[in-house]
Amino acid sequence: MPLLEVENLTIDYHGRTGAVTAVEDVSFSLEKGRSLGIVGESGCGKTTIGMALLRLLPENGVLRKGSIRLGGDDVLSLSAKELRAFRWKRISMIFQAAMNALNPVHRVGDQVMEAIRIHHPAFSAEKIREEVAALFDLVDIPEARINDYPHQYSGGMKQRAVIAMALSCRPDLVVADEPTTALDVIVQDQILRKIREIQDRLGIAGIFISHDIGVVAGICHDIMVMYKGRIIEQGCREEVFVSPGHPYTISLLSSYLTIDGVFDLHADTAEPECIPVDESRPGACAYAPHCPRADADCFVHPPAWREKSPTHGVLCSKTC
Amino acid sequence: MKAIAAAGTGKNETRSFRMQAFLEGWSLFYENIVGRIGLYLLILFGLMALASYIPPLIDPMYHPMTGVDPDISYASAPSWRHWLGTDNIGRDIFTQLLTGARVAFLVGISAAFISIVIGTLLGMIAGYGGRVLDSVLMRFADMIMVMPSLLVILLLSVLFGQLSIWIIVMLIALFRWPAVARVIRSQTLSLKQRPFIDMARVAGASHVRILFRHILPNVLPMALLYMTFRVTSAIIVEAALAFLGFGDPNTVSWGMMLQWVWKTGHMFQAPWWLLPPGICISLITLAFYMMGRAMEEVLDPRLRKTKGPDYAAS
Amino acid sequence: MNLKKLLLRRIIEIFVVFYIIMTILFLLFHLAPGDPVSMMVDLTLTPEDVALLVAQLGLDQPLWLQYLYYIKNFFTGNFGTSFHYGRPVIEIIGQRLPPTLLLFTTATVLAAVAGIWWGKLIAWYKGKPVDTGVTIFALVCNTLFLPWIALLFIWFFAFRIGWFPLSGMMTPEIWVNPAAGFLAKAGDVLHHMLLPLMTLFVVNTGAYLLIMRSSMLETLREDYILTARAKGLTERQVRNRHAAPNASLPVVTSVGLSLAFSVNGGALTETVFSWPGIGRELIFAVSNADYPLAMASFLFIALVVLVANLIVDILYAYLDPRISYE
Repeated sequence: MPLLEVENLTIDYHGRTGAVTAVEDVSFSLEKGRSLGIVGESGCGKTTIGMALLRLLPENGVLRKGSIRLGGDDVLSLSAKELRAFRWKRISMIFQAAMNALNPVHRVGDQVMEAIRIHHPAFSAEKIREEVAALFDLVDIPEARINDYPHQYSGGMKQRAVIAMALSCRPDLVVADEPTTALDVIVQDQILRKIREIQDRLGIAGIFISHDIGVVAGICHDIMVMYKGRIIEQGCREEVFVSPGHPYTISLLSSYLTIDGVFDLHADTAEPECIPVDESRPGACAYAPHCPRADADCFVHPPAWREKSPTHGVLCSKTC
Repeated sequence: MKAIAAAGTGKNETRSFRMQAFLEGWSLFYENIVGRIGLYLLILFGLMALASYIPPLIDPMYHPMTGVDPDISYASAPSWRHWLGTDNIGRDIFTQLLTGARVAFLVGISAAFISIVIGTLLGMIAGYGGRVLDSVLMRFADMIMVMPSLLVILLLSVLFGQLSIWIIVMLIALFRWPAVARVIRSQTLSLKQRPFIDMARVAGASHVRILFRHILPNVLPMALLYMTFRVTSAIIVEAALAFLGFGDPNTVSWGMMLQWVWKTGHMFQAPWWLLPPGICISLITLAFYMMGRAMEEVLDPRLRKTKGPDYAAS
Repeated sequence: MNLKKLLLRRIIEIFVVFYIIMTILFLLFHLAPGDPVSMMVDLTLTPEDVALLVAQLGLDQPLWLQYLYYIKNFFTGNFGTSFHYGRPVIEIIGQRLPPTLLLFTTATVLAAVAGIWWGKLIAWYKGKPVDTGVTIFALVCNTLFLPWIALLFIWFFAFRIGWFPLSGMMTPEIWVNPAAGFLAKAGDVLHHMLLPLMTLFVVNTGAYLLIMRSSMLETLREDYILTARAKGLTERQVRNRHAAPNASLPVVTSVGLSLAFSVNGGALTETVFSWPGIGRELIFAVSNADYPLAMASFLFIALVVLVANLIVDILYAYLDPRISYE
């Protein structure tokens, strides 16, 4: 049985002008110890999915449909108390802009200790301190810096402290939302490798959310590409990279420059002329206006989910 | 996209765009209950100020300063003849109250206007004029800001002898610009970084032209917003001065009415005299303050209610 | 270490600001039309006494020398003689300062603490009717005309129901009675202080409450709050441990900025309640054209505001590790 099962997840945001669907009919699953990358441009709903897993949706976000199960437990039916015990202990999160994820008025070590203390009330102060020291050692932060305040850390150190915090309760799953976006490229690489190494060592499953397919490419077993709230392609890394089935994935991959040019797959990715979406037909493919493959049919009928292999699916009616 | 279109096709569309922005701002303002209450209160006080011209026309005894009811020489309770009663020498309190509204608007708006002009000019100059000028002006502003303005004005009144209403207005304005200058300065600093200022400079616009043609229109909404807050503080300072006996002896203000009731020892006997002026001062400052807060929400999207995610107790 | 440096810089700044204020006052009073001697010396005294005082204060010297005398006199505590009391000004100031400090400090601390506390609570109920109600109530309290509400309080609490004395700071019978102990005296002062305190509290708390509320709402959108929630903290823990300490920082700043404003209110309160403080003395001195007393009172009030600002700065640095730790 997979560790995480998400089925038909649909989430709306209610605003001044009405409801907007941020995530539509998203289903996926994740085995223990594996990692999944969710890729898409900003606003495609990938962060919303991460938040929903921890039930941290904003006030105006409504989970309209679907289910989330972790290790057989129905996440959506947890009571407030169960939910608090579930958070961080079962799923922890490395937030987008981790620079700001540390509270500026508390010592970094205290913030990590706090997480452990909540979930292991029986631990002695000494035991908690040891745990924190071990965690900081794991992410290569010198022990002397444990009692520093966040502003005394460099960007990379803050990021590693946040990772230490995310691992502090040995969760089953870590959700990392743009874990390295704010960092420079060299630090980015170090951090990603560190996460991957720890993940392997501790057998923790991971979900990596990024707008940058390059970040996800290096560390994930499976890739999920999202566009406007829907999964448009899903498969294991090699399948998606070698034989991408959706034109959007192809354009993402071709914008991801690599030195050996492996991903320079198709020539037909030039930005096509804009064709206005027919608003009266909400079923039409959302990507159609930008799609080089689109024909009149795409603007009328909803796209169909096609299985390219048992592990690889594409939301596009056109075969290529 | 919209802005580009407006810039491209000229004045008409710019105007309609501004109009649209104005209407949207207005609807946001009007949706805000605080702003609406403030607006209604202000309309009420405006009507009072206008109505203050009527009673003296009906009968000279309703003149707020000099009109004395010939039959009454004590503080009389409300009656048909005097809706809010009279003060201890037989002057009509209702008339004084109406006239007080006029004085409050006069003092509040003119003092606020002058301090806004000073504050906006100095703020723009500080923000635009470079480091030295900036730090000198802002240090000066800080210094004025830490001074208790009421007490400074009191002390300075020694130099003037008797204060007239216009000296009071000037003094209030002189001590109330720093907060405005600070806000306008920071706005100017950020505007200075924008490309259109560079473009104007490259195109050969003079500093004066850049300041007044390009920066001023952009800081004006903020200046207007601050004006409502300045009105509040100007009215309070004037009322406090009058209450302490430093008002203009030729006008009736609400603060002065309170001074009379206090100094003549009628505060325990004549609630009809004690209550109305205090209520009016409190309400008019409240009204301007509420307007200001509602305008702030319109101008500063970060303060809006429906903005961004807000996390509920889960 | 950094904190010390900050402290030193602020103290120097205070000196400079105070010096500039002194200089501006000097210039205003000596260059204004009229006779500066008449402003500094009581001319109703005998001509010999006047001449003596003029010489003592250096008023017969050229302007620049007078200026030096003025500075020297300040630091030696020589402010001349009050016209009204006929006593050295410094003596009167020495009597008036402690009651002001007592009332003002208590009122400011109480208002700030209550404002932070209630602002934090009310931020829980954002958008609910109670939030709108409290917001409007706080706005109303904040804009109440202070002397008026003081008169109302006296009328109701002291005159109608007689819970508190009408005015003043102490009951003479208790203070002249040699048998009265410290507790009786302190209790007496407290009894006199409650009503003025309540006045200042009602007027000042609203502003702090509103700032805390909006600062709380802003802070609750920060990423570290999301982290705290994700860690499994209860809503109460999130707000008390993670949101409130950060959200109260702007309130502390605004306490500093509004000190000058609170001093205005303090002076008005002292006047209405006949609290024998320095603010009342300044107003009294100005009304009676007692210039030496007025000048000195003002300078000391300015000094109090500056020092209070310094204390607020230190408190801020203490609360925000970004300032105190390098």
